Amino acid sequence: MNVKANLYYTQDHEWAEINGDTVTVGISDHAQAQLGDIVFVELPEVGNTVKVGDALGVVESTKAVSDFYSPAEGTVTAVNSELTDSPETLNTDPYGKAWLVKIKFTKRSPELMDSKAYENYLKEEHK
Amino acid sequence: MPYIPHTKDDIKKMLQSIGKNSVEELFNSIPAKYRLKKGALNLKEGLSEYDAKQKVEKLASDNTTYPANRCFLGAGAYYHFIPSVVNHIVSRSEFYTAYTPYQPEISQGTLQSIFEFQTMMCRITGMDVSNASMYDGATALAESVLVAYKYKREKKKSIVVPSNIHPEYIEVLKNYLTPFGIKIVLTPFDTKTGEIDINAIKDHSTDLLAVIVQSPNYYGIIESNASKIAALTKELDAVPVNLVIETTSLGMFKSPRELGFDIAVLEIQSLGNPVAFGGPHCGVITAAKDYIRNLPGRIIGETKDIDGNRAFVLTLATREQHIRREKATSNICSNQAFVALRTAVFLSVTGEDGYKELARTNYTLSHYTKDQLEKSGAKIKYKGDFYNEFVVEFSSKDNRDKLYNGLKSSGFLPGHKIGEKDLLVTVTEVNSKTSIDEYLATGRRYAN
Repeated sequence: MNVKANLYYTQDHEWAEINGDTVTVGISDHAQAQLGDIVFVELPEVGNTVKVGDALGVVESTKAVSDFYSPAEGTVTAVNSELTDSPETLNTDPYGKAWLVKIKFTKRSPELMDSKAYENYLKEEHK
Repeated sequence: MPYIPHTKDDIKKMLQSIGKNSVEELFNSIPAKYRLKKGALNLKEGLSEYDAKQKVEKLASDNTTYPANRCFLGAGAYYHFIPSVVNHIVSRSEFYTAYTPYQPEISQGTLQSIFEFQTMMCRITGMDVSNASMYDGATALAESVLVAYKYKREKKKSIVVPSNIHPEYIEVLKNYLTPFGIKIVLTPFDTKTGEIDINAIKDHSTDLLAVIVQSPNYYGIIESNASKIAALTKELDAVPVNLVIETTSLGMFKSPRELGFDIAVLEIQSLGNPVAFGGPHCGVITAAKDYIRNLPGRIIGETKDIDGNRAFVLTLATREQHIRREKATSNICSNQAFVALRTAVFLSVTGEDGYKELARTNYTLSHYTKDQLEKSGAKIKYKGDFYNEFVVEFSSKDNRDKLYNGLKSSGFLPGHKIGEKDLLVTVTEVNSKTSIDEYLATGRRYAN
């Protein structure tokens, strides 16, 4: 399972890339592998204000439907609407082209893990 | 394999594990005075099969039945001719099932019939997608408001319902939508034409989620401003919903899509289904493609199997428990397969030309009836053009009831009494010109 370095991760298997006051959110390689073929993505509206742990949107695969959650408090500034037409990108490039949401944040979740901690977390989860 | 649900020992074990002494104890939370005591029903001795059959036949003979051509009652349930091929095809044992089977491996026939049904629903409404059908028109209408609610991301909570839509549908809307906090604004209609008052909609533009237009409406009137209302609704950033209960009318009037509606809700009893004790009914939601992921129920799709053959599968059920688990937003887990099948067979034998001709026949016969009534001095309440139903206004309740009872004692179902002193009269293709003339002549005997 690919865990990309220099990203933060949540216990719900989202990744978060912090750049100044903006955080970009996606789902981890582990998450996409667990979900299987992803067929639909529902994204929030730009301008929505969110708190840590709020459901940002929905990722639907042929096996299951999952919400994905916000790792920070702030305002949604961009969504990756290309995913609406090609949700399968989440399977092929979860850390790159398939980012989901950008949030201008004022506060981030205190529980974010770095890539090392997330790798350990995955190992623990699979024990 | 013996089918034994549970033995006395099983029951004892189950009771022990939940800490109860008897099955009766499970019901202790219900006050004793409401609990049925053993023997309280005072049931008589059982009957032999033959005796039971005789008893039921006696009960059945107490029913008053009306021949089709003497029925002038509609108001949401319509007496139409059903070609015998419909009953013949749907009675094939391949279609016998207590439940709708969705497994593609064993159910290609059923899935194909639903797929074709959906295709027909899209063709008569002009919409892109149709669900596989659901309980009835009224619940489909309420569900369509929830489709709009989800489509608008649950931000708006007020719907305009003109008060000329079927009153029972309004009751179901209240029952269904109140728990969601959705407010139903009943708006007045033009009492001269019987049509929706478009200005009354403009007055309720804040928080507007959807506007419902029934055409033909409860009084049979075609909403001549339907496309203007649909456009206005979109200008107000709300979802225009078209309700069609008398679905034979779509053979004659512009489709909901042509009128500019995003969602069309149908009740399809009219298409190949009898009016046995008022039913069976069946609802359908059709919509523009944008709404597809918010549709409740199921959608069957066409695909290819591993050998490249045409095949059908359950394609979409985006709101249900089996896919969304605890996040499900709809609990419609199947469809009204048998009624949908009847409708699909009915439409396939009627064909496009037959469907159009059926509508024109309904229109012509009902207008003939209305013209003759007017010639006899009857007052037609609303001036708007109608499809196959219209309202006759009497000078008093007594006069209406006298005519109603007179016609009934002469073997007619005269129509549906509405309001203080009105009668809603329905004429379909089953009412021949001869039977209409008899109805009119009999009516004149009892009219003042």
